[in-house]
Amino acid sequence: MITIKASDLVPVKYQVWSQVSTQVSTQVWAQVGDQVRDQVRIQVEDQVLHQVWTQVRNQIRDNHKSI
Amino acid sequence: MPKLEELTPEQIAKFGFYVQKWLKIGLDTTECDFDKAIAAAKKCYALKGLPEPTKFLGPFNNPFESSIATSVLSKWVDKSFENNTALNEALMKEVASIIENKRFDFPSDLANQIYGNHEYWLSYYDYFRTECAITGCEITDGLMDMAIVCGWWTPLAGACVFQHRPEQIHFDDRRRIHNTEGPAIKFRGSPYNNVYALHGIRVKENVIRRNYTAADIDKESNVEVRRVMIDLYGQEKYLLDSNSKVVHADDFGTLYSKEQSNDEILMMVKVINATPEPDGSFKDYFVRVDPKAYNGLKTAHAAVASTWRNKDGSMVFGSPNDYDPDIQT
Repeated sequence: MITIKASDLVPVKYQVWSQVSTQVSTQVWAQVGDQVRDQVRIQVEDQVLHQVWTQVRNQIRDNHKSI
Repeated sequence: MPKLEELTPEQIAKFGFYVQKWLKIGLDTTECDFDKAIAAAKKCYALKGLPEPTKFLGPFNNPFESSIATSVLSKWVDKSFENNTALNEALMKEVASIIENKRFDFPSDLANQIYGNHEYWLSYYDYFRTECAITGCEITDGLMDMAIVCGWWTPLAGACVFQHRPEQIHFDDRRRIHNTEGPAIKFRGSPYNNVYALHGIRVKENVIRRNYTAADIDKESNVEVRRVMIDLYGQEKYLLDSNSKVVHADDFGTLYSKEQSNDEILMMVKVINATPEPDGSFKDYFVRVDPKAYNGLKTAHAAVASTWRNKDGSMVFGSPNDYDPDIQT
């Protein structure tokens, strides 16, 4: 048998996502110069349609407000 | 240890590989792989030293349905089930019932959801780790595994709630989300998270369905959305249906203008095609004109003259009076 406990439902987004994001960013800052970081961000990350995911997030937030 | 200050040509040549790799992940529209999502979630928790969760739920169709699921779980505290499968089946059934009966009185848990295959920022760390041997990126391994197998998901201390990825994503030729006939981003299941957009501008569903009036356009406060609505409605039709002003009429045509809040005046000139249609009738044409031409258009004659442009966009006629056609073609 399994039982749902209140403690099961405590969000851990901060640890699993926010902290990970901060930790890995700090590591890269310590090992990579500004120019190379900018170069990779522009040439790799910015080309991966991040505007689409931002729009999806915004749309979903708007939808939740209006339902 | 010195910082990495320059990339080698070999490292630069790898940019395209990571762009394509993460585009493929982000645009994947297949269903969530539940078993692999469980493994990826366990890795995420382990990398942060968190206790392994024991309840794995879903996959739900979209963020909205996932939000309902976590709300139901909060009402089921102290409730017992035979095993995870029994809990998941009961939860899926309850969420479906809430959707069917539109019992939407639950708090949103969007703030607790993370983005699975939409974590585009991981591409940056994937590159540094693999191509530049930067240490410390291993902390993202669980999120990277999750990006490959799952849509958005909710990590809770003892439970994970997974979602499918969107079912369809449509773009225009400039890779902006776009669909004139339905959702630009369509999720499985209930329609509440579908994204409607034209050339990257998000609009409401009724716009795509062409279910709006000229008055609705005038009420729209967002300039970009209003422009999209006018284009879809038809500029001429909008001008005629929205109490636009006739500025001037002469033998060259009729000049209309329509004031728009926070945007340039919409000005069009109606001209009659000098060539008859096959049935002998003469068809009207509306041509959009620049209200600022000739220091502000005041006559239909000037408006028609302003439509004559050189290849570089400059005016063919220095003054409207220079446009005096003897023969119309």
